[in-house]
Amino acid sequence: MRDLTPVVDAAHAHGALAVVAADLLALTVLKAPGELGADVAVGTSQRFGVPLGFGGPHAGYLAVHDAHKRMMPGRLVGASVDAAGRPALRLALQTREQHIRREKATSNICTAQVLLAVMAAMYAAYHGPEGLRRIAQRVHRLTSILADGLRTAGYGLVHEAFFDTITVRCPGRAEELAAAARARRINLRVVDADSLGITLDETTTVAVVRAVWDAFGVPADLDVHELDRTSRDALPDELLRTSRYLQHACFQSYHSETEMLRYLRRLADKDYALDRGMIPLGSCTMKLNATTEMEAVTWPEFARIHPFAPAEQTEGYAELIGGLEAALCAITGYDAVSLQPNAGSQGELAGLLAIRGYHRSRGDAGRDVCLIPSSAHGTNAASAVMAGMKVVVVACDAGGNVDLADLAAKAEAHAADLAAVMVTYPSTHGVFEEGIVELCDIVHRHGGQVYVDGANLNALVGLAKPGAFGADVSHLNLHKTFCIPHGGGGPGVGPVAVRSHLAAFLPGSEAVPAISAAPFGSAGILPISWAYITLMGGDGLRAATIDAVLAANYVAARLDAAFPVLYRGADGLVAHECILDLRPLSAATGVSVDDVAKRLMDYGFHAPTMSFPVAGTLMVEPTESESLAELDRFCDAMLAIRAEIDRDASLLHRAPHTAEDLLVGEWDRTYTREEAAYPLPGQRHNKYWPPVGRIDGAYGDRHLVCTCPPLEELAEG
Amino acid sequence: MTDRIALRELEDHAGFRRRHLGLTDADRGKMLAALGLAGPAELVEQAIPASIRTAEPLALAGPRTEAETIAALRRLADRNQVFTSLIGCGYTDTITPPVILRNVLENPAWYTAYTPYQPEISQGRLEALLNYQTMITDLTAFDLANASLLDEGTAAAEAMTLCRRASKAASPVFFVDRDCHPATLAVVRTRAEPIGIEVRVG
Repeated sequence: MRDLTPVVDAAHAHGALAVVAADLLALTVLKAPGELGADVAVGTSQRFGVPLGFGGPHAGYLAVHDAHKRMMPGRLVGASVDAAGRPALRLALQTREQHIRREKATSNICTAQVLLAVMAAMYAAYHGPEGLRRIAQRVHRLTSILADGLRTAGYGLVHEAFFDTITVRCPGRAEELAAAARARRINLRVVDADSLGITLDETTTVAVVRAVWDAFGVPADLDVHELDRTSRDALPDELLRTSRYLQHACFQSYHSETEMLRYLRRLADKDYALDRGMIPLGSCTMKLNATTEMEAVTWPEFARIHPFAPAEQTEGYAELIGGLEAALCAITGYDAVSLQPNAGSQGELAGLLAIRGYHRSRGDAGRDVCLIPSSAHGTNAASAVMAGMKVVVVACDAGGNVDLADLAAKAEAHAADLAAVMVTYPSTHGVFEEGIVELCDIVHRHGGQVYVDGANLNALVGLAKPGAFGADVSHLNLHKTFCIPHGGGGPGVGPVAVRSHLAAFLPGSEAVPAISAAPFGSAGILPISWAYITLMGGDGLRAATIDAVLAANYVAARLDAAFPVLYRGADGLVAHECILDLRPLSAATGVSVDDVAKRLMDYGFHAPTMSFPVAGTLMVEPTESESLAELDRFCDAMLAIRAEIDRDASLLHRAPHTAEDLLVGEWDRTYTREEAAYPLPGQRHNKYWPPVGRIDGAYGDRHLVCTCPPLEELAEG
Repeated sequence: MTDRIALRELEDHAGFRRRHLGLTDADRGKMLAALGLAGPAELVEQAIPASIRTAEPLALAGPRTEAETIAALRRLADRNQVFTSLIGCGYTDTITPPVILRNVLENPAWYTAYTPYQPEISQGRLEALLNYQTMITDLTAFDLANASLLDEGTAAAEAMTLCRRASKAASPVFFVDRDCHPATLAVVRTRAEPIGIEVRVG
């Protein structure tokens, strides 16, 4: 640990920016990176109550100053107001994101680690600033005592200033001492042959300190509490934190378990999740996340394993990971899988880097053109640019299919520098395109590789295999097809699957050292997908795919007359999702997709995907997990909304309706309160109330506020 | 007893299918009829192009019941050994307060929600994320933090490209302190090379 100010100043003097990676617990006692002049701060919030899980999932963080706010990657929550002027939150500055900026995007990050970020924030709310500081002080005290004990036995430290980590000099003995610690069920970090790293944490006990001493041959009569009286902090005075932190109400109000329990309940009650009803989001595959699948995630034997624990301690993980990789190969027809990418976007990048590595290994470094159809998800283009490729857009025909003539022409024109084509199958239009095999042939003939985005794999499992019909590489989304829950916006797992000629270029290879920090990415949630595949078996997975396709076609058939289905396959059927075209209706009535989406909330539904991949449309993916009753309830709601558009469109324009809207003040609208809140008969005994009305996103972007209001402001209010 | 069912059938190894799939056979019949299809085979034939369709069953073990699957996971778990890991490198053991473990991590109201694109029905997790952003900005003494990134390595790589965009310097060099976590450095190297950033360590 050292004062970084001189380094930061030197960087600034040369026109460079400074990034500081900082440990959040340490920052409760040490000066903050912002106070040292840094331009960006990064790190992980894992140690704020998120289990190790053999490497993940955990929430990484990134902080910037106002000057760089529009350049910041990832999701950003900001305050705004709703239609009645009430404070309300929503995602801010979305125009920065890759799904809008496509190949001009600077990051392909789509998701966050919401569930884990929520846990970390709640950990801070539960302990509060004083509690966090006490944890930090205890960890530091134990580290100082550990260091003093080692010194008494003649060991020196590489750094004399430290927080929770010491590097012990032990010339020629690192392996031997690490083995001695392992004999006491303790893992240390072998830095090199002559030094060992030891990092303590809030679970460290006096007994653990003694056991480490014992491994190093420190006399057994050394008294921890004796040393506690004489040991001195190893935090340099000039780096001690003097500024206050976490003074907001949310970090002051929930220190008792009763208050925390009720806060968590209160927040959860505001939200709509799969435990309330169907979430028919196209391209998101919101299927059941069965309880049995979730069970093992929090078992200590999976949750409390360090990603760099010795292999002999992680044989269970190795077998589970090997089994899952083999199953994914069997399902997709590929030869090798890497589970390291911890989101679909990262799997995409890993797949494209594998293609890049392959071309370069053959002396084809000039192959850097990536063909991408205009219907592709924006992330595809962003990933291609990050992999050092140039994007060439291929047109779609009137039926929404990739225009094979245009593809052939562009592949021909780029025969010398074609690296790859990136397509989604079935397409983002929700259609099984007939031309996919020919598409693969054309690209291969011109020296390119075929990347099939596995976002829609839920329509293929057991019926077709991308690795067998011509693709070279795919990423899969275990959080879609294989039942890992979405967590409110993360975690995800985005394995990359390849045919054998690309296997040498997967993450962990020389060409692609690491796509995620941990060797197996978010390993801690892999038991979910393993369990799903085991529970279903091959026939069950195939049956699920057929049901998913059946459900989508049933919804398409029921809604087509009211909201025309935009694209269909050759036989008039859709794949596992369907796009409802609202554009003619919008032009005629002024009702937007937003209006329909918000009105669905009054009916107790989450909206389908809006305006992707075609602006002015809704994309519905019911999945195999919904009952016919729920599918019908959704279709009934959509048809009732269609009738409302003709009867009184203000029902939609003013949706969603909160309880306050209906109860407080005069009622002066053209429809009744009953029509607003109970449009379907069943809702009287099962009503979800949106907690706020329609949110004004633009207002929030003009007045950007992305932190909790300070206490003083609340006091004034 | 002529209608005696074999034990193998009574054990119902494929029983989970009924829990995961929302449709009953009667539902399927109604839905297929509404589509004018004779059966699931016809649906598959019509929806999926013959050029890619496979009739071959998936070569997977199972199915197993929920109890059997938990037992199998238990056997795998027993082959992992929980040591006290003082390895560090950006990963430390932690105590998840049980109230948070049970009411967030193990609570479907939190884990089955989607990304808060529909903010009116996502105010709970948006508030929790605003708390997260506030926690990060406060502890780091910065103005603004995002609602989290994938891990520390990815965050460092994103920071690197942000610096590239924001810096006025012409140099393509991104200098990394040798004391940074090795895993962070590995991700930064992977992400730098294809876009022409030169990583120097010292």
